[in-house]
Amino acid sequence: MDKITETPIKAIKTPGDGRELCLLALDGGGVRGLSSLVVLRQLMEMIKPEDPPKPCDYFDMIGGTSTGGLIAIMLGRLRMTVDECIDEYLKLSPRIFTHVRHRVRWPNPIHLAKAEVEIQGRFDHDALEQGIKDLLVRRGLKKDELLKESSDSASCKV
Amino acid sequence: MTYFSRFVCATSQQTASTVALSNYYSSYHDTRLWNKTSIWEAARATSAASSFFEPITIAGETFIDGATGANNPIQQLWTEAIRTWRDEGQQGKWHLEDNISCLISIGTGVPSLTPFGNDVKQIGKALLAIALDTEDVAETFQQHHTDLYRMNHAFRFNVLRGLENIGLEDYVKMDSIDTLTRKYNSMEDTRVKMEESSKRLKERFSMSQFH
Repeated sequence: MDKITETPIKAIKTPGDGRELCLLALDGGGVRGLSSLVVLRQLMEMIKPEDPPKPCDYFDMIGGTSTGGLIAIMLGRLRMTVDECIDEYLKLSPRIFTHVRHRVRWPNPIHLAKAEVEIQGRFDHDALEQGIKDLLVRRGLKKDELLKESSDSASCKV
Repeated sequence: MTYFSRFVCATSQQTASTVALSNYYSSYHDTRLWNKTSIWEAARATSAASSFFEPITIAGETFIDGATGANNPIQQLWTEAIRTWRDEGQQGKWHLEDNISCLISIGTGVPSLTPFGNDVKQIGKALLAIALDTEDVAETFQQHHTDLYRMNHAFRFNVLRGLENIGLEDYVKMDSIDTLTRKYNSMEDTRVKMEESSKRLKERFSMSQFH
């Protein structure tokens, strides 16, 4: 049963109406991930046309699936601007979406049993790995830099 | 207070459950994974879209697919946000809805009908189901949180026309993606939503400057 508590509920450290969280969710979609970046660029431009801010300075949490996750990593972990991210996406796409890999297996979602369908992959995972490592090195990080950050070592400002 | 942007990417495991990889610590996540995952591995894991990339194994966990379960990650992000901010000292009644200044969800168009693979019919159907799912997820989420949308605290952007003709791997069409999206950005309906959401983002940002 619900307990009625007399303890005042502490609002999250904030003035105003207490609404202070900004969240961003990015769908997956292969090369079409570019579309979400072009939308986001427009949004950032509307905030400050002469100097569009970085999404990581405005969103408390960025989440993504598939290529949306890739973009979330670039914006959130690498703290890139949208323009930098678009450049990178344009650079990466021909590398990772070109090569055909054979004999990729995946569980068939239509028959949820263990059936597997053999198809040709269209993306190159080695190229993705290499592309990301190159990007990390260009940005002054180690190619095997960990994803995790601890709150005392990481500040939002690069 | 040190502050850093949190991000998370949802991926699926072989078991079909969704696993979150994040730059921040969460007691809900697998600590072993958190301690070991490198940035490139996370990139691989999240992009290991079923039909495209080969699976990758990190610390004994195999990731096969960032797309089948959740191509639109809004629900995972929501759950993640509840777990994150509720845990930070909140007791008793606390609702994420009351704390959202601005929630933005961005799509990548509606389904591509380009079939591929050996068993074209089957895989085409499967992909269609996955892609359709993103707008279904968006719609259901909006129904469940209708007040946030009505009060201009939540926004969904998605280019609903044109992108469906561009395959997920069709990088030569990137110019068209750019053009179609710019056109979408300039539509009156989009502009209004963008003005409202950028206003929210600005409010929140100027507020945070006082801390």
